Amino acid sequence: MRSHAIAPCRSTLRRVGWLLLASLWLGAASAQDKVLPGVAVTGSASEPTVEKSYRKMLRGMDLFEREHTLAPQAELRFKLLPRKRDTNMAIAQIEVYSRTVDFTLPVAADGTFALPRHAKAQAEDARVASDRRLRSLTWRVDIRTPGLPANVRRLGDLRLECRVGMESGLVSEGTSLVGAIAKVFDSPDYCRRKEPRYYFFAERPLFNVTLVHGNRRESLPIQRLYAGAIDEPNLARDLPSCDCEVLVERTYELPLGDPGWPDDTRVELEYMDGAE
Amino acid sequence: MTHRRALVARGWIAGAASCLLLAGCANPLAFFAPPKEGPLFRDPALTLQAAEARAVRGQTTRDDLLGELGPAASVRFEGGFEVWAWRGRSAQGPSEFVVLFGPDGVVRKQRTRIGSAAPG
Repeated sequence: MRSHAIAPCRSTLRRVGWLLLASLWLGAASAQDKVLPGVAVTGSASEPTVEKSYRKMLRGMDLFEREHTLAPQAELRFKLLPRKRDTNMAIAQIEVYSRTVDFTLPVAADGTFALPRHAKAQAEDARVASDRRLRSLTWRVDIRTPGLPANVRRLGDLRLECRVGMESGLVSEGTSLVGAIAKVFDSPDYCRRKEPRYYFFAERPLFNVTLVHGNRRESLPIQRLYAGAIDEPNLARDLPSCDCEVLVERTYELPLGDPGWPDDTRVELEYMDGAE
Repeated sequence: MTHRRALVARGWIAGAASCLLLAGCANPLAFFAPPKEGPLFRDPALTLQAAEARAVRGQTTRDDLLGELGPAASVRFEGGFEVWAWRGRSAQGPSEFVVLFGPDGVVRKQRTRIGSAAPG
């Protein structure tokens, strides 16, 4: 019993001793911390870059598969367009990144790219990003039936472009309050309106857009070209909030929800610089 | 602002600005522009065919057409191209006559549209 009474005392002393040593060591380390040499940080803070939600774009791809009958022979790609005059459009690749996923995708010379499905990227809510600064790019969907002349689009393809584009969340103003409100209306049902204000962009400045089906030919009214600029003398003031900012002369709108124009209606584009 | 007031305000703003916000539309006024019901040209008797004959590609200037047809709605683009549009009622009904001028101020193209001149 006597030994039992003595042993705890020794172990306690040992513990106290270790504690004292530990505190001395920590104190020394702390003192050393205080005299660490300064660290120089070089380089500037990174600018926010253009990004979209991978999950939303996958939802757009899901919609494309469900509604593929609108454009049965077409494939789905996404397209990058300039939003500022000084945007460098020589974009070689797009990045998909999340907490543990990071891969790049090639961008074709026409600014389009295909987006693969990646389960982990989807689970981790990945971002699809370019290295261009925020609001310097406009994103669109590109759905083209093969075999048509370069200046002809198919209305069903464009109807599906609108629906996939809205579902993919490609049209928004980013993190601003205006953009947040816009996201409330990100719905493909908007494209079923008779004349939704969804901007399509031609390859070059436009003079005329004509819908053709059978013997029926009808040009778009002028207010459906150029983002309605013909009736808006102050458009220049509003352009910074439009993803058509530097594409006005290439912009056109279509009667997407008008059942009088079937899906195989040809949309013929006449350019300002084209032959008559 | 309370949460409920914020929702109401957000809804009003969203409703009023829906045209502006959707698809990057920046021109709500054009969507609500009134239809063009007056005569197409300054001279109400001038026909579309006569106007087409006056806009000669490579020859007629902006000043020429302004004098012949009267004022038009117009858009000028970077690079110097201009689009002029006369809209109103012709003998065939609501119509529009559209002319493209090059940077040199001379007619490059023209087109006529007979149908509804009203938006939407």
